[in-house]
Amino acid sequence: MAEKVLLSMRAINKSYPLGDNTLQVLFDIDFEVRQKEFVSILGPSGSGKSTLMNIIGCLDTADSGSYVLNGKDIGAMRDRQLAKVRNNDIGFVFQQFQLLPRMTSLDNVELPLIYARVPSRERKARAMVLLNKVGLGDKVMNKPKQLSGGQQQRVAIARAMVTDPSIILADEPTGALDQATGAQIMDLFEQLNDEGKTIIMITHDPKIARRAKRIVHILDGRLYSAEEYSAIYDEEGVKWEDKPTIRSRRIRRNANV
Amino acid sequence: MFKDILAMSFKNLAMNKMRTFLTTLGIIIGIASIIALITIGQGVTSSIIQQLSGLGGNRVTVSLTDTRVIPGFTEEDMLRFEQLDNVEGVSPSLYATKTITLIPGETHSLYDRVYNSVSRVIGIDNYYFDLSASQMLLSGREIYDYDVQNASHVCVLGYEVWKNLYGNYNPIGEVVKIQNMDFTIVGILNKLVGLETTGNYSVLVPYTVAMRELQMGLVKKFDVVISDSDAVSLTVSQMSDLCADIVGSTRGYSVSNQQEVMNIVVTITDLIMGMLAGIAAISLLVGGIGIMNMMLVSVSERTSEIGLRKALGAKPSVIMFQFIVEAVIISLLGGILGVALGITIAYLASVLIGYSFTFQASTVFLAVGFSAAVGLIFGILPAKKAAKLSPIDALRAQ
Ligand SMILES: Nc1ncnc2c1ncn2[C@@H]1O[C@H](COP(=O)(O)OP(=O)(O)OP(=O)(O)O)[C@@H](O)[C@H]1O
Ligand SMILES: [Mg+2]
Repeated sequence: MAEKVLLSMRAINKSYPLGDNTLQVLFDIDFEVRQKEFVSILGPSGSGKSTLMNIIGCLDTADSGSYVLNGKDIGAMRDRQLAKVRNNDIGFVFQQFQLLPRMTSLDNVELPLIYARVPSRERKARAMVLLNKVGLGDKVMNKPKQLSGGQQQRVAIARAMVTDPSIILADEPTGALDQATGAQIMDLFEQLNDEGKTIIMITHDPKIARRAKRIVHILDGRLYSAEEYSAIYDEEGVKWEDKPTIRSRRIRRNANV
Repeated sequence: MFKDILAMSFKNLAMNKMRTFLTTLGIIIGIASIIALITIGQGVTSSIIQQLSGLGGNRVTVSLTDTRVIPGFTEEDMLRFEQLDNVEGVSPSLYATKTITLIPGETHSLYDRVYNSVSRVIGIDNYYFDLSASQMLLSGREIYDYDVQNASHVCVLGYEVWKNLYGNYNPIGEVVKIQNMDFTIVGILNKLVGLETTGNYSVLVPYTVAMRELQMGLVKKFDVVISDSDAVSLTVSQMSDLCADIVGSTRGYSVSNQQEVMNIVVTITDLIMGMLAGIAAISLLVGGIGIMNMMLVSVSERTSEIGLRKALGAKPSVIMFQFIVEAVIISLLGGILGVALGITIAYLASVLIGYSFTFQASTVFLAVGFSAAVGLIFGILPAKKAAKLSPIDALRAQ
C-alpha cells in the first residue's frame, strides 16, 4: 500500500432541504482512496450512495468537510473549475449508460475530448483505441439503439476512459444488465484495474461488490470499513445486537408455554 | 471546439426538421415582409423620383387655384414669365374633354362605322416630353416647338387611348377628328407609370391649337423651366411677384417647385414604408418569441443530455454557447430564406406594378444581421436556463 493517496475526504456532511427542515444524508464521511485501488461502496437503497458519488464526482459539493482529489482542493472550486476536474480527472459510468442517442459510438466516446479541446484527428484516434480495447472496434458507427445493453455500457466505459482520468467512478454499472452481461462488465473493470486504473464502484449488490479489492459499507449516511461493518452486522446485514440470543429465545419459549 | 459545437447544433436542428422549419417560418415571414416592403418602397420611390427628376428641381409649376379672380393666363402673361432672367422656357398645359371622331375609310380604327369617343385632350408643348427620364414615346415623334408655333393639327395618342381605338394597329399618319377638325396622329405614348398616368388616357395636341382653335380657354397651369439650378429660389420669388402682378391679388394662385413635391413624395413614401416595416417588425418579434419558445422546449427535452454533457466536462459557458448558436442558426436560416422570399415578392411586384426593380446589398445585410440579432436576443434566456441546470438534477431527469 505504498501507492500515493489520490482521493481524500475528511468529515464530509451533506443535507438536503426538506420543507422547512433539512434532511442530513451524509454524516462525517472520512474516505481515502489510493492509486490503482478498486474500491466498492456497498449499501442499501436510500443509504446515501448516490449522494456520496455526486460529491466524489464533483457533480455536487459538500456542506462541510474537506475534499482533496489528485492534489486539488475541490471544496474551494467554482462551477467552471469543477467542470474541468470532471473532464480531466473523472470518468463516469452510469447505471443507465447515458449515451447520447443520436450519436454514434465513436461520437459518444469523443465527447469528453471535445470539451478538453483536443483536435478532431487526435480525438478520433484516441476514441478508436478505447473502443477497440472494450471490444467494439467493429461497432464504432452504431448508434446506441443498435447496441445491446452490455455493448452500450462498454461504449460508456470507453468514454469514461478516453480522457485518461485519475478515477473511474461507476454508479451501479451492472444495475441495468442481466447477470452474465454484468459479470462481463465486471471482468472489464478488473482488467482495467490490473492495468493500473483506479476504480470506485457504487452498488447495493454484495456479489458485485466482492469483485472489487476493497469494500466499504455505507449505512444511513455513515461509512464503515469491512472490519467495522462485520463487527456490527452479520452477513445478512442484521445487527448482531438485534439477533435473538440463546438466552432470549429460551425466555420467549418459556413465556409462550 | 467552435466548429464541433456548430456541427452539433446543425445535427440537432436537422433531427427535428419539421419543428425547425416551423420555428423558422416566423422569421421567414417577418424578414420577407420587411425586405419586400423596403425593396418595393425603394423601387416605387426611385421610379417616382426618376420621373420627377426628368423635370428636375428646375421645374416650377404655376397654377391658378381660384378662377374667380382671373379666368386664366394668356399667352402674353406666359411670355412675361419667359422673359425673366434664368428662365429657359414656359410649358403650359390645358385640359378639356372633347369628342374624338373616327371615320371609316380615313382610319383603321377598330370600328367600321363613324365612331365617337369622348376623351381628355391636353394642350402641351415640347417640354411635356421631358416629364419623365424614361422613354416617353412608344412610336412616332414628339410634338415639336415647330408644331406649337405653327399651330399644326397634329396629335399624340396616350397608350390606353391607342389601345381602345386601334388595338395593336399602328395609326401613325392617320387622321382623326377632334371637334370636327382634322388632326394627324404623329406619335403614341408609352404606358406611363407613377405620377404621370393621366397621359395614358389623353390625346396630346399643341397648346396653341388647344387655345386658339379648340377653345379650351386660358391656361390654368403651366411649368416654368429654370436654366440655372442655383437660381431656382430667386426665380421662384420673382415669379411669385409676377403672379401677384398679373392676378392682382396675393391669393388664388400657387407657385410650387417640383423639388418640394419630390420631397413631399419621398417623405410620404418613407413614412408609409416605415409604418409597414414597423408592422413587419412586429411579426419578426413574434418569430423571435417562437424561437425562444422552441428553445425552451428543447432545453427541457434535453435536460438529461445537458446534465450528461456537464458531467463529461462541459462548462456552463459552453452549454450556454451551444444553445445560443442553435437559436442564431435558426434565425439566420429564417433570415436568409426570408431575404430570398422577400426579393422574389418584390421582383414579382415590380413586374406587376411596373416599376424598375432594384435592391440594395445593404438591405440584405441589414435583414440578415437583424435576424441573427433576434436569435441572439431570444436565445439568451433559454441558453441561460440550460447553463444553470445542475448536472445531478439534469441527469436524474429521465
Ligand atoms: N435532491 C434531493 N433532495 C432531497 N432529498 C434527497 C435528494 N437526493 C437524495 N435525497 C435523499 O437522500 C437520501 C439518500 O439518497 P441517495 O440517492 O444518495 O440514496 P442511494 O443510496 O443512492 O439509493 P439508491 O440505491 O436507491 O439509489 C434518500 O433518503 C433520498 O430521499
Ligand atoms: Mg442511487
